[in-house]
Amino acid sequence: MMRPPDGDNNRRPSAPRLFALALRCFPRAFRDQFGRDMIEVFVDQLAAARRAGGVRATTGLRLRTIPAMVYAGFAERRSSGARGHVTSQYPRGDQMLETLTADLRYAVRMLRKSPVFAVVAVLCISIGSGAVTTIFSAMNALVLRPLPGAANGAELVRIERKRVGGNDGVSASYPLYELLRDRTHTLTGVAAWGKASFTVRSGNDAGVEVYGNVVTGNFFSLLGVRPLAGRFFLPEEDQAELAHPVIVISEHLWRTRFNSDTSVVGRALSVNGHPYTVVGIAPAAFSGVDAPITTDAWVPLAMMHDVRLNAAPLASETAVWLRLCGRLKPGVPASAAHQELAALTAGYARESVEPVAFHQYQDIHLSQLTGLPPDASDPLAVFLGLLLGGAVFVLVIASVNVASMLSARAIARRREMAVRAALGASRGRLVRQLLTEVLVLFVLGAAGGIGLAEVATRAFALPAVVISLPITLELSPDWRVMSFALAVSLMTGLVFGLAPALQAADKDIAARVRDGSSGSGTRRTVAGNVLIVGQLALSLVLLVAAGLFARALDRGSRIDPGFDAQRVATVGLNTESWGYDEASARAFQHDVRDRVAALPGVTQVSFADHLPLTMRSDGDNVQIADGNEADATSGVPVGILKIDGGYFDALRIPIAAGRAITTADNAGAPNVMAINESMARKYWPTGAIGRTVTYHGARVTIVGVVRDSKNWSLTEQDHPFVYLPLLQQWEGNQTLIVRTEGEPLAVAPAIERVVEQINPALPRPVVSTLQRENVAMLIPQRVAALVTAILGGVALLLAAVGLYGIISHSSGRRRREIGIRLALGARREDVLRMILGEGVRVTLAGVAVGLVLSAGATRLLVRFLFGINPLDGATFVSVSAMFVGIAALASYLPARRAAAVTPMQTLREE
Amino acid sequence: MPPTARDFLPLKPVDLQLLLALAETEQHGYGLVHAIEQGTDGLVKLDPGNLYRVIKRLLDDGIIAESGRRPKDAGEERRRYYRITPLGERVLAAEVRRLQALMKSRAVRDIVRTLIREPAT
Repeated sequence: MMRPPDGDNNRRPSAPRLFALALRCFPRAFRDQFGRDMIEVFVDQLAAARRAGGVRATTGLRLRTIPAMVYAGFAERRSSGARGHVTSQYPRGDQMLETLTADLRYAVRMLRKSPVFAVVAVLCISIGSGAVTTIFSAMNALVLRPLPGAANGAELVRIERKRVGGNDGVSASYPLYELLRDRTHTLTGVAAWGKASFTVRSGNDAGVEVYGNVVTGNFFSLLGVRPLAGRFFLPEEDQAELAHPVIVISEHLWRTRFNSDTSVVGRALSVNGHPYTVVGIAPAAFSGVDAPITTDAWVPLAMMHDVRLNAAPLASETAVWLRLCGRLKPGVPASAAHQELAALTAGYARESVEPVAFHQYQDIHLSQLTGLPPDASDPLAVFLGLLLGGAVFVLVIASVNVASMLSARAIARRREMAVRAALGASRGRLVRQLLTEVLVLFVLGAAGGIGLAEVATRAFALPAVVISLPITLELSPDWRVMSFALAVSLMTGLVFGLAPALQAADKDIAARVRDGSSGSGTRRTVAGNVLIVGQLALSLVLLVAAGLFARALDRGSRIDPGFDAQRVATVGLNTESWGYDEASARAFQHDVRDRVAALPGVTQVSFADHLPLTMRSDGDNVQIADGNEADATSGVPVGILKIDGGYFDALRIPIAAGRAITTADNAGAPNVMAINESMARKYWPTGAIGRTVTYHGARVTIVGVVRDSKNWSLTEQDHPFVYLPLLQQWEGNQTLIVRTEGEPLAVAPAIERVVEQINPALPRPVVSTLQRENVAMLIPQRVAALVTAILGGVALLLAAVGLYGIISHSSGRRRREIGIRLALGARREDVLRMILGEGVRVTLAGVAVGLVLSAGATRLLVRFLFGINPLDGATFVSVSAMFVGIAALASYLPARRAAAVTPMQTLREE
Repeated sequence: MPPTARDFLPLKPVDLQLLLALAETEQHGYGLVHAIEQGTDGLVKLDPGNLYRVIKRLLDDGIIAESGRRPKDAGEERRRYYRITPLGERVLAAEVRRLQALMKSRAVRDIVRTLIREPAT
């Protein structure tokens, strides 16, 4: 026989951790005797496997060995027990595992013995845990989770240029991107992307318009995304401009447009009218970096002028349109990267020829690349944090109910505990056993909660609103959410299970086994009452919040935006993505305008580069010579909307002075603009008509002043706003605005036909309404009202059940007293009043505490309330009244039962 | 009454391989894993846990024992070597005799002729 190879003595790796853990499955005595030898053998096996087959072999060995070890460990435990090797001489760690198994088994047995209790308790916890888990899922998906589909997402940072001390991020120019990319030492790389709209056509099909990105060559490799098929961009494909027409498509586009046909890789497509080759497919997990919008296609930045005809040259320092991200080098803290990038940016700001307005943007805002930009995710985090707080209330209320159920059960199990104590169980042992039972309940509750969250998040993800953007919300729980749910449940289980466990394991109770009534009854009732007051108070807070949000929703839908969105149809016409150059786009637009205006039922037609109150806005600086020196040189910031003739009529925005923008204000006519009243008041109180300002170096004359209207948000303060004629400031992407006599969508088929007649090759346009597009503005209030109402309702229900329980319990214990009272001549109304009085007292205390808490808590909601006072009297009073009514009902039912007792019944029971 | 060799028969295949290996030379744990793998033509790859469960059982039964041997050159070498005891040798011998008798039995000869040789040709 050959000699066995010796173990690798030179470099002996320490025992792998998993193996060490598996070792713990063996009885202590066995481990003491052979533990070290087992490790040695395993280490030798690993070394041999490494020599024979590398990582694959060692992984295989591990996968084989660890489960075998666990199994062998437990097998040894069983057989050593059978052989009579008592392990009690090793009291620690080892016995713990055995006790835990025994406790778990016993706990499951006990819970199965009282299935009603178990089911009700688990249901309670599931509801509370489900509420918390649902909201945390949303928070996780929208704010916390690193970019889905990317490798080591935690290292990825979004880089935004911002003002020193400010928090408004702006995009970057290509030269700034190049500078950061070339000079950074703290990041492994910097990638950039810009928004684009692609009309993708395969063969002679109608084509589909998708949201896309133009990206730098390193975009995918920096993010660490792996292609589902084909490849991503090569470095050279982002070098020479317009040299490599290649496109990567999303799994979603691949599935929906190409029937998941892998042969699409290498196929030719038409993108915005130009021939492109598909080189790869992105994986399903990766839906781009502009969440919640789904990105469906990517082309190299060098191809930008192919797909965005009107874009400024890449080298332009004034065109700020790129978004940046980077990957931190291992071990480099974000603060170091921030310092470096900020210094580079400050240097760039000093030396570049960019507009003066940008010179203050010398700082950098670094944030985790979660998909949502910080200006969206930060308020969202606050909002969801508030909702999460509400959900925690529900969990606490539910846990209190479970605690009181456990407490009642503790009384019922006094005999069992007494017997176990008599047989030698220590108090600690009993407490541990009881706690195990509680934890089993809470773990089951957590599982139920995760299930609930799974359902609830799916319901939320269903299109809450129809907006003309491909929005997907992937909220479903991941491992992070599951561990959160489990941790929260275990913690609540410990907090709320400890007291009942201690109470049940109380040795004194054993002494009272023969005693029919419990000595500490009053104390426990008081404690129970305090818990109920807390529950009622918390649910009142939730209901008050729900009431406030409902009022805010109502108020929000009544805010006058300054324009009339009713009976307005809108159609996005993205001529640029169809490959139209400016001349043909102008002709197309003219054609559409004339033909749609001639349709029956259409009263006014116009165009705008974007719609008001649709999460889009545009801003720039104009120089005003009439004002102070700074206004004349660096300019004043204004909101900008580019419109065609008829816009003010179509949206019914009244003209205060001068005239409207008309179709005669075209490229050949003198440059003109209309401004809003706020701007006119601020800069030309004596009259703005005929004044001139400088916009992008050209003089523009003010010809009209119109009433203020909301553009970005319903709550925005009125601020200077400028309307420019589209025909003078061309914009490739426009929205057609059609005012109709009747139902706006009724003209949709006719509009579709018009577009088809002009160019049958175009994708079918999506006709929407301005009202529908505006709905998104109220989403936070809608969601908040709905969620807090659900949470509040559940909380109230749980609290009412708790109240019902405690009143029935106390009246049940007072049966004898009630019987005697009745025998001595008390009337039933008196008994009813007595019991009811107890419930009402508790309720009123709950309402009082709840109102105080609400007054403090609702302050946090101010920014979502559209000016509704957070201490709104009507809400507070009506919610309290409803509350008292329901609580009274919850205590009336047991009170009536108690009053129905006859003296004879109680006497017989004695 | 001390146990006789027959009390341990028949041996489990792993026990047999382990005793065969030890009959050859004293071995440490990893050597035994290796020897058993070789002896069973790669069929039995023991994990450390099951290996030492077998070792413990054989030690308890007095069939094998720890050997005092330590390699001379290994300063850090702590691993234990095992040897076969006289009882173990008797058990092994008895098992081998049992297997020999088995191999010679008529039934096995028939099986070998019909099932193993013929399809192979």
